[in-house]
Amino acid sequence: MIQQAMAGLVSGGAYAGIAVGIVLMYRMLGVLNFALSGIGALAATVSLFAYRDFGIPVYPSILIAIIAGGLIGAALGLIMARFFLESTVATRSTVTIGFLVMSLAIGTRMLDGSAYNFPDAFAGQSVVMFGSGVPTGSIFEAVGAVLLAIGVGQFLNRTRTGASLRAMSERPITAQLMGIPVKRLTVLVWAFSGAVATLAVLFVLPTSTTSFPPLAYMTVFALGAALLGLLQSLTVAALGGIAIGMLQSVVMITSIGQYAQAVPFVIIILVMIWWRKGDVWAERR
Amino acid sequence: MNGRTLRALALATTALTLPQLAHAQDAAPIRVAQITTISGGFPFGDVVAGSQSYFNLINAQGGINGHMVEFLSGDDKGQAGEAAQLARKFVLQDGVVAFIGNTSLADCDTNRAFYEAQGIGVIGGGTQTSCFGQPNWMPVNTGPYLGHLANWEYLFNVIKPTSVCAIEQNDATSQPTYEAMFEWYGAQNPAATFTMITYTNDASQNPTPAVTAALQAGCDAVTLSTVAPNAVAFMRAAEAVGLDATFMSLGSVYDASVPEALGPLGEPGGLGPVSQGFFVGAELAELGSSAPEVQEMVTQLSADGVAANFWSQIGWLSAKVFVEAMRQSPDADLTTAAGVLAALQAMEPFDSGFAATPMVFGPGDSHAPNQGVQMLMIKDGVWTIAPGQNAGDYTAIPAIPDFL
Repeated sequence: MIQQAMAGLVSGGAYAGIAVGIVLMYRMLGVLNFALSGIGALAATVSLFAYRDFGIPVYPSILIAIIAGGLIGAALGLIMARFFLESTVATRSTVTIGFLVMSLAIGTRMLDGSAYNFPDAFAGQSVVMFGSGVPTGSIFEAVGAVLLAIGVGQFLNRTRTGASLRAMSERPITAQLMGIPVKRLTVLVWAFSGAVATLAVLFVLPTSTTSFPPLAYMTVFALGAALLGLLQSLTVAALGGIAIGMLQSVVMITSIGQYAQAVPFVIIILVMIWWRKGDVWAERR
Repeated sequence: MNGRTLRALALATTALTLPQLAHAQDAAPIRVAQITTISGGFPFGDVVAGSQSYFNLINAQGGINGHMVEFLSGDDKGQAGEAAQLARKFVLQDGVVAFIGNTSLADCDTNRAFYEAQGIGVIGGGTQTSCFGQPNWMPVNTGPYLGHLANWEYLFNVIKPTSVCAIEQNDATSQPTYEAMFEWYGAQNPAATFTMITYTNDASQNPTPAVTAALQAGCDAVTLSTVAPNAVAFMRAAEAVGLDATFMSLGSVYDASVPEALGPLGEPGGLGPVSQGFFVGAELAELGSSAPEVQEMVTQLSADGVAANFWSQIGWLSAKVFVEAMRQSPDADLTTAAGVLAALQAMEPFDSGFAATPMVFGPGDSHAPNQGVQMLMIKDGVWTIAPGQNAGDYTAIPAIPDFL
């Protein structure tokens, strides 16, 4: 059982990283970004071209991909800041579905169904835990996602830029009138989240399919983790991502293994019911 | 050779060729079409190019029984509506007499009734279960069910593992058939047992949990139903968790990118001393095969600028089977669908050089002439024909259950 749970760290670490990006964007920008892992997968593909076609070594290739993720995020952030700053959360979130579809259209042509050898910072390395190996990259990713969540939380609470971001998330127009560079900060958050999502995808790629759609749809599972933190707690979202990955792995060897993928959705629904129940009680009071 | 001899040779050649060319020009062309999924995420476009290339060769040789072949094609985008629309357009508007090379995610299910009503024959690459169970549709490939049986034949008789884990597709449609197949095979071969059977493999799921389960089950061989990008993920996950086992997959993994992406990991011993390597049961001949039929295809595809791969091979072989059937019936009316279907149904089996068993359309209610695989393994960075197969370079299926 423990061995099986540890195997889930591979997916869980990726969900955790993407979930941190989702919560950050929701809290700061009021947008549920359905395209986040699609952006990460597109940028990760850049590392493949750098590594395979241009012979660039592993670490610089990975760095190029992270920069690409930041740039793609910034470009989309620019569109959002320019055209959708005053839109509702629903509108902004729906726009990201358009970005997801775009990423799928481009990505499925870049990764055409062949097998690819992506640059791997921890090639073939694993740590034996409870009698079974766990890829080193996955451990690094899971721990990294939690530390990132804690670090970003501290940054938002303790720095002047963090305070500006929080002001922007609550009253964007007021913040803009007060001289806070709302558009610039919007682009910055999109760029940061894009880079984080790229890292998340890059770490899972060595032991994952290199088919584009499953990489782009990882956001769906990360959303389950983000909802566990009620779209507010970065740390709970990161831990939730890891928990979902581990739970999927354990469920997989049970008699309901075929439904392992559905576990995050059950969690999403249960959280939403619980959330809604609180509202209903509040209304009745 | 002097000038007189040359002139005599030229005259003789002209005298021999002219009647054939005149006949070819007199005879009405045979118009055939292909419905293939090209866009929509599944790019089978090379099938079109493979069929076109074979018809180029045949037309250059004077056509079929004097009839030149006109070849049309359309992309159904993997959508039932598009597939239905294309079938009707080709038959009712363009007057095609047969479909050659159809390789679609929608065609077999969608157009079955239409093909039967119109009396149109189809030869192509079967991607849906129904392609292997209808009177007017003949797949040239083995398909996943027979592919499993051929793989097991090689696995238990040549590789002889002590404990096998089967990681099957998470697909509710095919699962009952696979469950019946495992039960039937176990009854037929009591020594061949599967320690773990799981129906959890799909592209959206990381393979590490399944591979960890195989490790815990103590398996020294793992069979997969998957595609190239996922197969590589399975091998990497096996390396990460420390699973030393032989891996075997269906022919859908046969792709040149796999040995390249796996590197030493795919070689015998790549996962450890127990692993005999990575095997796939290719549904058609290996592209580097020395068989003259395969060499002819590779040469012609190259001349036409077409990539030689599994998909262009499907297109080529479909066209080849069609041409063979038509040539076997020189008196048939090849300009009508009824005449062509009659010729297909009257066809005698022939050795195509591309499959374990002879190709034939025939009169049956269903068609699955390809009953074997060419077992391949990765060696020295490329796919090579695995040793010890029961039908020369192929593995043929000794027995097939009634329900398939």
